[in-house]
Amino acid sequence: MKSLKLANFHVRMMLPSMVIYYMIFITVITFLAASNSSTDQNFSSSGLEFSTVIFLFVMGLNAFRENFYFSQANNLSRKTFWSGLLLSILPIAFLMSIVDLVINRIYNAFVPSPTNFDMIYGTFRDTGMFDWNTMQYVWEQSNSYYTLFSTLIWQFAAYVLFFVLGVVITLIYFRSNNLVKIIVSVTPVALLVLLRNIAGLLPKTWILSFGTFIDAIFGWQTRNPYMATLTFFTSSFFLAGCFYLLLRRAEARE
Amino acid sequence: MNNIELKSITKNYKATCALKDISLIFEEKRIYGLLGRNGAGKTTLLNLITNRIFPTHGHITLSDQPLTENDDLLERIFYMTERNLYPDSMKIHEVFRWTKTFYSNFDLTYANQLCEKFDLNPNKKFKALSTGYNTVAKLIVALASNAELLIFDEPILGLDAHHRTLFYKELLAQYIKTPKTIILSTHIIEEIADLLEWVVILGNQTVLINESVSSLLERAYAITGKSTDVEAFIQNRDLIGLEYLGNYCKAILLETFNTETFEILTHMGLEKSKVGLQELFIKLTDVGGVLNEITKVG
Repeated sequence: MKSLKLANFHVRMMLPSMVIYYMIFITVITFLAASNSSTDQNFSSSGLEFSTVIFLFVMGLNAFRENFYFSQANNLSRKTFWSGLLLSILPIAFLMSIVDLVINRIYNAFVPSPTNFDMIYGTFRDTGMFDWNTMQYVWEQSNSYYTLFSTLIWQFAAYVLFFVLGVVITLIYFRSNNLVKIIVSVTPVALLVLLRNIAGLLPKTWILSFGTFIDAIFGWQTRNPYMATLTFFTSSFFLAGCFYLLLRRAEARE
Repeated sequence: MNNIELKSITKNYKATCALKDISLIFEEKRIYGLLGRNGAGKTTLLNLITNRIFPTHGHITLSDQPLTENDDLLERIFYMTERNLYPDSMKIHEVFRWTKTFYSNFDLTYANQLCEKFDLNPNKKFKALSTGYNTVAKLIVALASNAELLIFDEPILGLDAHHRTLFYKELLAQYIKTPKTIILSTHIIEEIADLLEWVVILGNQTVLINESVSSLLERAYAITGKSTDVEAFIQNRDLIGLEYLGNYCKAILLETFNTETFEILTHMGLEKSKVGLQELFIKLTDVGGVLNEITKVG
């Protein structure tokens, strides 16, 4: 019960930022559409909702400290804080997924604008945006129930994942001393460099198997968006577990 | 019984020991003073009681149930910290509203009445408040929470004399109306001494004194007279402080005097007077004196 009250608090704290984000987002795309409608040039945009992913990731990064201290001010347990924060992202991510879908469909009436979902699982992969021979737009957005529902769920799962990722990264920093903070900061870059160099040294079958695995978990070949959705949710559950383990002994330092 | 019980609590911060093997009981419906010098472990102790931090060893219970991560028990405690834990952008009336959602007994009407008494504008944001009014806002939330156990860490930080008096009066009025356990941790001992029923003094990572204020002050005496006479009198007595002024000196003793002792005092021509809580605290926690244990002189 207290988790729901805390989730309500988190949602209300996030709403103003969300409104500002959409005001800026809508202003920018309206400006883009208006400025390009007056020219004869072919203009399209794609994957605009990725900015929502970045927004929610940043929100996740900022969601921990202030809310944790607030929960401590009200003497709430860490379990309540954990479940409250996780519950709060569900309506936010769902609402933003719907808003992004609506904005995309409206924007697409003026400017061809496939979503990330359209580009990965739709016909965009086969046709592309523009036929250079006929000089015509060939891509048409599907508005079938399947596409709308799948886009909604797929985006929702991705939004939840990136928010939780942001929270976990902040919590790692919160729990770490200076040395661990440096290690955590350097690790992603080091991993990228290492993987790039190691890839050439590993047996080709390993690389192929890894490629097949990635292909399968994101439903690329089969064009099954629910595989990716499942992967996003599984990753979110895993991160939520990490969040709990890091939080259970977290101390509000005075 | 709504007692808070600390059983063999030790708290280490890496290599530093903040509290060592402390066992304490905070009994219900009493006003406690938690005293100690800077770094004595007062805030650590309060943070442990309220589940903000975890003990390295030991257990804390409320009504014989473990307090750790127990929402039902934690709701019975309100802890006003020195540091502001509310979002800076939050308005005072919003803090009231949200506190009401987590503390079902929070009295919104009383909170607004207190705002008027303390001359605090509830439409102001926390970040717009001065240090004094920041404390006032947190005090109002604590007083209106109606929690069974109220804990105040430095509750009068930055408050002017008028606000301090108002706070003491409100606290006392509330205690008389609905008795509850109150723990006050402050350095301004003189002002709160009259409020306290029981005192816990921390020092050297442990509990130096855990006693009712009246019984503690009853056995504390200041003996003044010629140095030679005072020095002779304090032999084999529980001395906690000695001050010299020329040929005269003042000794603070912490022991129960019997009729014979009073007769000796009269016979030696020494004067005795009572000692205030603040002076007693200073002597007890004087690093250069007898801190860890009250040693016998001679």
